[in-house]
Amino acid sequence: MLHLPSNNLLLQKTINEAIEAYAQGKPIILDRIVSDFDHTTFHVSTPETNNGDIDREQLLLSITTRAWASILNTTNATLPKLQEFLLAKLQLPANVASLPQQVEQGYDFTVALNLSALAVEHLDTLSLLKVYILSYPFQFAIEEFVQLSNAIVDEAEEGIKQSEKIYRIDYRNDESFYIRSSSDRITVCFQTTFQDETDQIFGKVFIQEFVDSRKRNRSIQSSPQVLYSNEPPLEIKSEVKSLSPTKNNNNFITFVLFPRHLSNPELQFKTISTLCLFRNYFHYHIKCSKAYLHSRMRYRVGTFVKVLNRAKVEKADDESESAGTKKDLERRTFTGKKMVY
Amino acid sequence: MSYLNNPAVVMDNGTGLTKLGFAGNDSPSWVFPTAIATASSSGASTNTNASSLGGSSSGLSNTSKAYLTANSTSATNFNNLSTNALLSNNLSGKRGTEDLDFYIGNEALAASQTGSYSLNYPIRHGQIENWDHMERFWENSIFKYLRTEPEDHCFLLTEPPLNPPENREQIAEIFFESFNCAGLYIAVQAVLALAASWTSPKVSDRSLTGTVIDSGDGVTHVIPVAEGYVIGSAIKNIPIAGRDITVFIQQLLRERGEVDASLRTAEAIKQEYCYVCPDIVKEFNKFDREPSKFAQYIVENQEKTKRKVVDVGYERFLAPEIFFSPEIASSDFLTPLPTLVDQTIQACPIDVRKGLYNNIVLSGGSTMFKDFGRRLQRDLKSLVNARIQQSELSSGSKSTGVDVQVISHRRQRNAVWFGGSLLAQTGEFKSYCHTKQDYDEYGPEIVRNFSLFNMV
Repeated sequence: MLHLPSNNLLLQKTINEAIEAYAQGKPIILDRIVSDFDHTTFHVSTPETNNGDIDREQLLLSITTRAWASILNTTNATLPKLQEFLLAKLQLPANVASLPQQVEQGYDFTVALNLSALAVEHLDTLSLLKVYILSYPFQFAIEEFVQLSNAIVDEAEEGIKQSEKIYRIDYRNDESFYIRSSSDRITVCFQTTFQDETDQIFGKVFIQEFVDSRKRNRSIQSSPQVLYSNEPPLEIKSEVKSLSPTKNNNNFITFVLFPRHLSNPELQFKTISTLCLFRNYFHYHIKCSKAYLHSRMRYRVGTFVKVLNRAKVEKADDESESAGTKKDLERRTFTGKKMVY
Repeated sequence: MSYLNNPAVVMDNGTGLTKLGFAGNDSPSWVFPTAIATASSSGASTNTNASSLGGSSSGLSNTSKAYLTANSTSATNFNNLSTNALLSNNLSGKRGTEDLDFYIGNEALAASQTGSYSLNYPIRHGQIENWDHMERFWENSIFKYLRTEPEDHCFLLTEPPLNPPENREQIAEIFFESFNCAGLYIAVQAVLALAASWTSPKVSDRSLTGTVIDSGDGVTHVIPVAEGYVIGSAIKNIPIAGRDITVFIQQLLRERGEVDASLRTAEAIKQEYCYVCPDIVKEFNKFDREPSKFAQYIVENQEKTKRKVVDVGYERFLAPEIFFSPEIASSDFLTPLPTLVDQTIQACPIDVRKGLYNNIVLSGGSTMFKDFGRRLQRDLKSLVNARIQQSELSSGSKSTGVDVQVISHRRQRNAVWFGGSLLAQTGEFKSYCHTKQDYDEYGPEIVRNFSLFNMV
């Protein structure tokens, strides 16, 4: 598995179970927690009607994510506006999905699904719900970018105009990403930290590779430019708040998106969904590399053990060790295994 | 602390099936075979012919498309991506990404059919044999199937009884060093099965004393547990379990000359029709009197065009009977399950025996037969009563009696996982875990000891 999928497999499977059970006439009562990266939790449940009965035709899907508050904050959006946006993004017919009167306690967004009309095709967008939430500030940034770039053309002006607005999304407790548009590009900057010193080193190698491979490899010239620094980049410096005291643990990875990455809505979505998963993808691969190193280490230890097992100890004096002769015949390796010749 | 609000992850890796899920759920989110399909060396070389990105506008969007559009369960997902185009000619170019070219679970079974992958089962007899495969199995189950960042979650893993402490240390090394998981708790399966039985209305006090009968696919264990500690010296096992029952049914079907006697049909019959009867002779008579007892199982082929009808007869009660009279199926193992349970408890210290008789808990798929618990309780009771009578005769004093109680409950199939989910959702769970900080401070040997849950 080189890539992490953008959609949530488990969410897909859980809702699919409910659809199938409903289709067979044996609706199940669900109350499941499904998690996703970055402090995101889904809750799939069968709701109760007002008079306390269980409404087997409905299914509630709620999500809570760490980024929610900061998305609302940074885009100055009202809650209903964001909810409308998400409902529209899900692209489900009105008889399938609707917004319930109130959001489930402890969650940020709830959508009510009608099992009698819900089909398997609808699962694709549902399982991308988290990406849609994160894409909200991107939409604003893209709009601004379009405005700015048009303004330049109208006035036939030289130079680059930068938007005043920096979108800051706190997607984890001490990590954020920043979006800033200008007339010819959108800059997305990820701030990430490493829990472990080893991870820090692996991370450096990886990021260096991100930066370098674009320079070296002709076939990926069209990918966004990647920059790395320990200092917050100038564009977003004013917004950066939480800096770790140790300089080495502030990592800023900047992606520069050019118009070609945003030329149509389809491309936009692909760009956004890939970017949203960047942090997870990055940390996932650090862990994979460690696993690979471990397997190499185990292999190496295995070969050493084999060499040691073949080594024979010279025969000890018979007089000094007369006791336990039978045990000595069964020679064991230092790992306690019986010797195999 | 960042991980406090996230649900704990409960993982039960068994010999046959792996159960994954989140604490607080009533059933595991994923149940799939503990299998991993790794690329065999010939398969890896076939996709090294570097394909360019086909002049598309953006490499970023091209790769993302492949996993957005493809249904993630397809086995071709990996090969479609032009991974090699992303490799430059320095270090990463010298080594491919073969170590990431693998599948687990049901996808592994599908991928192994294509020929370029070889299938491995990293767990044998409940214990992890191949750590390389297991590490990658976990990697994939955490990131792809559960979609969790291990740094944000606590993990509850299970281990078989009599697992050497070195294995625990290995698990800790992988979970703390590779995955940096926030916290880790390793629980003994039998103890979790006891905890799962607390959901049964029969259980009045939530004690961790009892006998666990764990019957999965390969082997059946009888494990005595006293106050949360496994009495290792008294553990006994029978080589009769789910697979033997299936094979026994298949044998009966063959002898009768049924149209379809495949292992799959036998398994379906086992799951749908089998039950435990109180007395074989009476049951034979009952079948002869009432033909309605005979059932029919219909086998459909994949396209649902052809139908075959398989008669289901005496195997309905004969198959599970091999637990109670093993001589009908095997010639080398002849001790019935109730006798073995009795022997196990008799091998334990005398002061816990009453508690062990009083709380016999079933766990695993092969204990799901109807009336399995009732029959076991009856047989065991007669064994115990006979012994009491004898001792009353020889000593002349009156015995206070021993209460034999077998508990079966609704969560029996995934009892171990469910018990884990139950314990991991409690508030105290996180304080019982060993954290990454502890690990860094003391090293892997800290996982040799875990404090027990003492639930009231």
